[in-house]
Order: sequence, then structure tokens, then C-alpha cells
Amino acid sequence: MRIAINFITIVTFLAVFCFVGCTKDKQHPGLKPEIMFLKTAGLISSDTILAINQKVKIGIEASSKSSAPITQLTVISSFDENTTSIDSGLYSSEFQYTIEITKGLAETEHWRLYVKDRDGNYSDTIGLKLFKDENSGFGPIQSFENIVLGGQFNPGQGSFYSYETNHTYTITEAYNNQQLIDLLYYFDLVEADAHTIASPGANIDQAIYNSDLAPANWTNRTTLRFEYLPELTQEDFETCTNDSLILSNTFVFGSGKRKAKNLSPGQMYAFVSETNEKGIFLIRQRQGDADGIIQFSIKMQEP
Amino acid sequence: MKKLLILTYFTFTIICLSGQTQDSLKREIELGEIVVTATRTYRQANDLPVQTNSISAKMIQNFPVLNIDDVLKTTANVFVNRSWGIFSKNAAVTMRGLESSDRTLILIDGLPKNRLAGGSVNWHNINPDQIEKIEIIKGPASALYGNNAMGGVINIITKKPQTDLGGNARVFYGSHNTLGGSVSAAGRKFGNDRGFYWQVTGNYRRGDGYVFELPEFLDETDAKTKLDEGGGSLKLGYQFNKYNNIEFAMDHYQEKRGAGRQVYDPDGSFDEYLTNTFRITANNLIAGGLLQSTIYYSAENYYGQKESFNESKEFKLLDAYTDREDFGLMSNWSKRLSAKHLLTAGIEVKAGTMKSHEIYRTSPDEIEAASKMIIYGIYLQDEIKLSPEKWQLIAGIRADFSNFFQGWQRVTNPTKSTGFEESFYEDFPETSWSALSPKIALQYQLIQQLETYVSVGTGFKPAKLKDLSQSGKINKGFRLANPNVKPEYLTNFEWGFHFDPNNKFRLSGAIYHSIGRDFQYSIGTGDSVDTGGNSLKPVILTDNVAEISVTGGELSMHYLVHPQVLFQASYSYNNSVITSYIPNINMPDYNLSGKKMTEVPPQLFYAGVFWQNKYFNLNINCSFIDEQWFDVENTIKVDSWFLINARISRIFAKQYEIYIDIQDLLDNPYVDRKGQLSPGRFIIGGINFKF
Repeated sequence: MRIAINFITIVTFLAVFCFVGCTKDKQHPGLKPEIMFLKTAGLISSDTILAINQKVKIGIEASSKSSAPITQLTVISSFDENTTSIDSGLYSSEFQYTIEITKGLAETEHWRLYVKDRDGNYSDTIGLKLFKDENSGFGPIQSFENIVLGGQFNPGQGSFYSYETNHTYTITEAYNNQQLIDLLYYFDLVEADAHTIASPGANIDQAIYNSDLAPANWTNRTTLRFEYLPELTQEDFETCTNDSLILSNTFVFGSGKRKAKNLSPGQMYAFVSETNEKGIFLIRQRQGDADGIIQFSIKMQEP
Repeated sequence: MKKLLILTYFTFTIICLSGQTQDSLKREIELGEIVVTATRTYRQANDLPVQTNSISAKMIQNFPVLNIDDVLKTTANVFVNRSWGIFSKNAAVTMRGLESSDRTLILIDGLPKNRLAGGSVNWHNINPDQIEKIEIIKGPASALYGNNAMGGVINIITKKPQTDLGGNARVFYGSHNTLGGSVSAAGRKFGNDRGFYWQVTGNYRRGDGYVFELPEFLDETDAKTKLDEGGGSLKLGYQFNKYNNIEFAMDHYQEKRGAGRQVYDPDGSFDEYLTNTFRITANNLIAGGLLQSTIYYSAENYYGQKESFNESKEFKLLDAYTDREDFGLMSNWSKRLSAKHLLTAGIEVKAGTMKSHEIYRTSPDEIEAASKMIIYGIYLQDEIKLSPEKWQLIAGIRADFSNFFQGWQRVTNPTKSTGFEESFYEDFPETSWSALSPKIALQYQLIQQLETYVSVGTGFKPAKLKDLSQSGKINKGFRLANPNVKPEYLTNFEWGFHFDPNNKFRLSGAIYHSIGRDFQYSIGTGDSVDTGGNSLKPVILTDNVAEISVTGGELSMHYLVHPQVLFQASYSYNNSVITSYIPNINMPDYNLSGKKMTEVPPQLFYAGVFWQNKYFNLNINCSFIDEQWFDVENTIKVDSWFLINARISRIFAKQYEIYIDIQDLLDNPYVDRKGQLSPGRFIIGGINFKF
């Protein structure tokens, strides 16, 4: 009798144990996702001839063929030998996406796109070529010379700048005109950063300003990205009268840095805004640190 | 929760109003214990020139243990940090005022659970039902155990079958819909100390978890910390005679724990571990001495899915895989050379590998890394009874030689998600180091009940493979691999005593001063990477940048108030300070001298009482954890916390035990070092059946 009771008890415990112990694994068949160009009005979906600086839109539609959602879209733009990838942060079984492209200087631009699903399955790559219209010329530029911005603790000179108004602003003025501010200057104690030009959307630590009006607390922050141009000479900059220099040194917004750091006179940076405004700036001079100034000039495409 | 409290109340009432069988009263509460870990020889705990604690299976049975590390809180100067309770990914167990759990050596049946690759010691795959005893040795013990034995050694010894057939089965249910069970069966076929024995076990546990985010920071991605884990073990052995046997053991464990965040994937962010361990141990009487030899292999496969929105609301999804392997050979021989000399000698070879692969699913980035390390150790110890016999001397020395090799990392298609500038492959140079770890301890018996000792001991910790070779995003920032990290060393000067006036009361304590050099610290380089969102990630590098000191003391008291009532209390104090900071060329010159070490609560207090009577068995205990610094610059403090835990149980029909475990009885959740909430009151009720 005792053995029977023991046996029944053990079987009961084992049954409970097995019942709660069973879990189901996720299934991942591994079928690759699909991607295709959207063929609707206003979008191009095949090789096209464009004038320099002409804007076009490309649309794609992608869908997963397994239970794994699509998590990444890669857009590769080939300017000569340069290739850039952009990730967009997705999680969807199907989606549509539109990209605006501005034709650059290259004779031929090859744009390729593919998607990746959550399990790492890649779609086929689709692409199209944009050829330069041989009859097209370079566009006009606007110049902003000798802009002076103060360090964040310079009481006499504003640290913020708007190229729309070509005015400098103090932190209080900038806080009240957030939508206008494109660039700012500050000095960071971290040696690798030091003299920095950035835009309000560049993750700037509030401690830099020691103020509640710091860009970290703004509700409207413009973001520009920057790329250092070590090969360019000051003469290149001074003699630039159209957007050829800007176009030959520009980059895709997502690949740029949010800050131009450790600046010194003579250095040049290309910049691109979220709305695809493009330009170059040259550092003319620099004095002091957080209470000092920086002087620079900008050349950028006309809107 | 309300239903659970009502159920708990009724169960409690039933337990209290009915009598339990007299069998349970036969459980003894023991004060003196034989320990083997302190010297690798069988010695009585209060006859050793070191602070030791021994936790028996009976103590574990009567303690509110949801994970085996819970019971370590009863020990003076052991800090167990498991702030999410059973839902914690791991528990950090530190000793003697030294931060980081890899400065404490954890052994299970003598095999190291600390992996050479690094990572946390996995306490979840230790089934409390299978523990025969836990031995805790305080202070550095590298003279016997080599790497990681700096703050102390915790040796968990599993049960061996004692009857022809026996076992137990358990089911439980509790807070946050936590339920599970365990089964074990064991037996032996013996005659004249010769025969075969076996043991099989299995256990499973799941729970819905809770949301650990503070209410003011909650957003739509905060999710419950789910839990799903289970495993099994097998032990087979053959006893040739009293001193000779061979044993094979294997252990399998699988766990999945939610990380408290869910964006798109139904499982959200989680950590998954698959662990397999195999060992063969042989005990032989050779040349008049006892030889114990073990070979082992342990593999841990980690998979983590991490999904989140950054502050710019960009969705991020990362798959992280890490395979860690440890294997080794250990051989220890002890022989009594004469009435005054007990000699112990041994050799060890420990090898570890690490291979990791991080795949960013929402960007093209991939980071791969791999590396290996091997440590050769040789040691010798003599336990000497001096004349007159009131004096005892223990002297030992160990030499370790190590090699770090085949280390590399590869970064492919980096974007702002990882912060690297471009794709690259890097081979790390092969490096080697050695460590010499002496220890000497002298004990004097003042009177029969009072012994005092002084000792000087040393400990060291090698660099972890992950610090040497693995770059990537971590919670605190962005870690850069540093293949140049060397071991750190600790020297400890100690005075202690054991006072054991009768078989009812024991008091032991020690004061000590430890000096550490070449301490490994993870320090921000002053640089940062832009990994998207609105916050920059600081670049963090681990290197030998600090000299430290720990000055402290501990007091431990056991008092058998009544044959069925045991009172325990302990208190410890540590002043853990960075005495000097020597930054490497890549690090800024922070002023860290004089700063307190992080995550070290200066004061720990524990008090608890076991009470067995004819109605129920009760343990109620409380613990106080002092406030601690979160960061090396001592700008952010983690508040102190105070917890009361309890367990009540009763045995009926001789084979059945019903019990309720309550952690944080007063339901007083605290905020941990990560700024997240503990679960508060947590109740588990269960039935245990023994046969």
C-alpha cells in the first residue's frame, strides 16, 4: 500500500512538472523577404537622366515572406567609389518607404536597395541608375562671411546662429527662436571635443551650458550633420562661386557626424541638414575657450 | 496579490492549528561542523585560523530560499545583490568589501563556477534541494585556489545518495503567477563499503514577473520580467572501498529571463542561457595520502535579444550570442606525514574560451570576438602542530602561470549603432603573466574555548576574456576591448578569534586590512560615441588603474537558545577605498584617490531565528544593507534597504511538508543600483514529498 501511495504521488508530481515544463519554440522558416519599386505618380522606378541638383523621389515596397518581420532597409548610393548605408529602424511584415534624392556631380549614380528581416534573411537587391544630364550646369550659392559666435560663457557674444536670418543669438534669444537656430558653438572640457560647432539636435549635454535654456531642453531642434574635409584647401573655398565644390564634397545625411569637434583655423567641414540643405564652412580664427569666440564663413546652396 | 495573501493566511492558519509529526523534531540544529574548503583537508571549523561558515542542508530546508544564494545572506560579510528576486538575471555575491562578484571564488563540488571568460556566476542552475552543505571561507585563498579567491571562497557541496532508494518531489506556486516543481531520485547498491550509486534530478520554474521601472519613468515599452527555466542532472558513481571511488556527474540547465522591455517582439528583450557541465572525479588512497582528481568541462551558451527605442524613437534590435567554455584538470593530494605535519599538494590546469557575435538587426553592424586563456597552477601547503600543542601554523604557497592567446575581434559595417568609424579586423597580441600567492597563518589556543589567530594571505584575479577582447555596447556605455589588462593582486593582514564556550554558543570575528594593487577598474576614457538617440554613450575601458585598501571587521554569533531555537546574527563593516589612481595613457586624470569603491555597502547586518516546535518550523530573519556608491567618482548613492523574510513549514504524514516562503514581509520595495525596483513582498507556497 505504501509503495502504491509513493508511486501515485511521484506520478502526480511528474505530471505537473511536465505540464508546466513544456514550452514552444518560435519557428523561423528562413524565406527571404521581397522588395520592389513603387510605380506611382511622382516616383521614379527605372534609370533616369537628371540635371545636377535636380530632386527626385524613389519609393519601395517590401514584404516579409516568413514570420520574421523586416527590421532593416539599406540604401546604397555609389558616388564614384563611395558607398553609404543607411538604417532606418523598422519592425514590420510589410512597409512602403520613400527617399528623396538630389542628383550630384557624378556622371552615373547607382542607387541600390535591399531589406533584411529579423532572422538575417536578405532580400534581392533592386537598383536604378541616375545619369547626369550633359547640358546641366552648377547652381548658385549664398555666402555668409566672418560669422562670429561666442563660447557658451561669453557674456558679450551670442553662441547660436541662423543662416536663414544671418543673425547670432544669445541663449535666451535662441531659446525663444528655437525653430530658427541652425548652428551653435561651445567649448567642451573633454580634450577630444574642445571647440565644437554643432546643431541644436546634436545630443549636447546640458552640463555644457549649466542652464535650463540649454538645447537639451528645447522642443524644436534642428539637426545638421557634418563631415571633415581635410583635402580641401582654403583657396578652394575662397574661389568657390557655384555649388560644384559643395556637391563634390557632400554626403548622405545619415552618414555624417552630429558635431564638428576640436576645431582650429583653416579647417573645413561639409554640412547637410535634415531638409537636405548643403554647405561648407571654413574656420577663420578662434580665441579663448568657453568665454572666447570662433569666427567662420559659410558657403551653401541657394534654397 | 490579494487572493494570494488570503490563501497565505489560510495556509498559515492550518499550519499553526494542527500538530506536526514528531519526526520533524528529530532535526538537529548543529553548531560545530567539519569543513574541507579552508585547507582542502577535513578540519573542524572552529579549529582553523580563518573565518569560516558552514550552512547545512537542514538550514537550507528551513530558510526562505528561492535561489541558493539567498541563504548566503546569513553569513557575515557576504553581500548578495539580487534586487529583482527570482527574476534577476543573476546575483552578485561579493565578500569582504570587494566589489564585483568575480573577486569571490565560487565552487560547486570543488569545481570553479567563475568562468575565465567573465560574466556572472550562474546561481540559478543550483537546485537548493540537492545541496548537502555550503562552506564559506573568508579572506583571500589564492594560495590554495588560485584565481578569483580574493574576498573568499564559497564551496557548494552536493548530496550523495544515503539510502538504497530515495528522493523527493516538490511543487510550488506564488506571487506573480510563479509556479514550478522539482523531482529527484537517488539510490545505491552497497555491500561492505563497495557498490554503485546514482542520482537523477529535474526542476522547472516559470513566472510572469513584474515591472521594475519606477512609476515616474514608465513608458509603453516597460514590460514584466518574465521567467522560464529548468534543468536536470545525473550523477553516477562507484565506491570501491572507503577511500576509493569514481564519480561521473552531468548537469543541464536552460533559462530565459525577461529584461523588462518589450517593443515589437512578443518576447521583448530577454536573456537566455543554456549550460552543460560534465565532470569525472576520482578519489584514491595513494602512497598513504588521499588523492582527489577531477576533470571537467562546462559550456554556457548565451543568447540575448535586446529591443528598445532610443530617445529619438528609433527602434533598435540586437541579437547577442556568447559561447563560453571552461575545462580543466585538478589534482589534490593530502597526506599526514607525522603527528605534526599534514601536507597538501596539487596541480591545476584551467582553460577558458570565449566567442561572441553581436548582430544588429536594425542596422548592418556586426561585432565578433574570440579569445582563449589557460592557467597552470601548482601549490603546496603544510598544516603544522607546533610545540606546545596550543600553537598551530598553516603555511602555503601557490604559483600560477597563464597565457592569453588567439584573441581577435572583427567589426563589420559599423554605423552609429556601434559607434565604430569603419570595418576592421584586429588580432590581439598573445600575453602571459604569473602570480605567486603565499599564505601563512598562526593560531594560538588561549583557553580550550578561545582560539585566536593572525594571518597574512594573498589573492589575485586575472583579467576576464570579455574585458581583454570584447568591444561593444554595455549598460553603462560603450566598452572597448583592452588586451593589455593584467591580473590584480590583494594582500590581507588579519587577526581573528573563535569563542566556543559550550555547545550552545559560538562567537567568531576578525579585523583585517587588505591592500590591493593593479586593481582592474572600468573607467570612462573621456570620449563618447554617438549611438543614436539624445544621449551620448561614454567609452569605457577596463585596465589596472587603482590601488585600493579595505579595512574592516566582522562578527558572527550563533546561539542555541533552546534545543529547538537557534538565533544567528552577524555584522560587518568595510571601509573600501581607492588609495591611488594611476590612469593609463587613454584615460583622463580623474581625482579618484580617497574615493570609496562602488557597490560596496560599508555595513551589513543580519539576524535570524529558527524555531522548531510540534506545530511548525519557523525561520524569520532580517537583513540591513547599508547605502553604497554607484559611481567611481562618488556622486550617486544607492539608498540602504532593510528586509524581513520568513519561512513557515510543517511536516505531516511523515513524508509531506507544506511550506510558505515570504520575502520582504513588510512589502517595502527598494531601488537598486540600476535605479530599478525590487519586487516587494514575494510569497511562494509549496508541497514537498519525500520518499
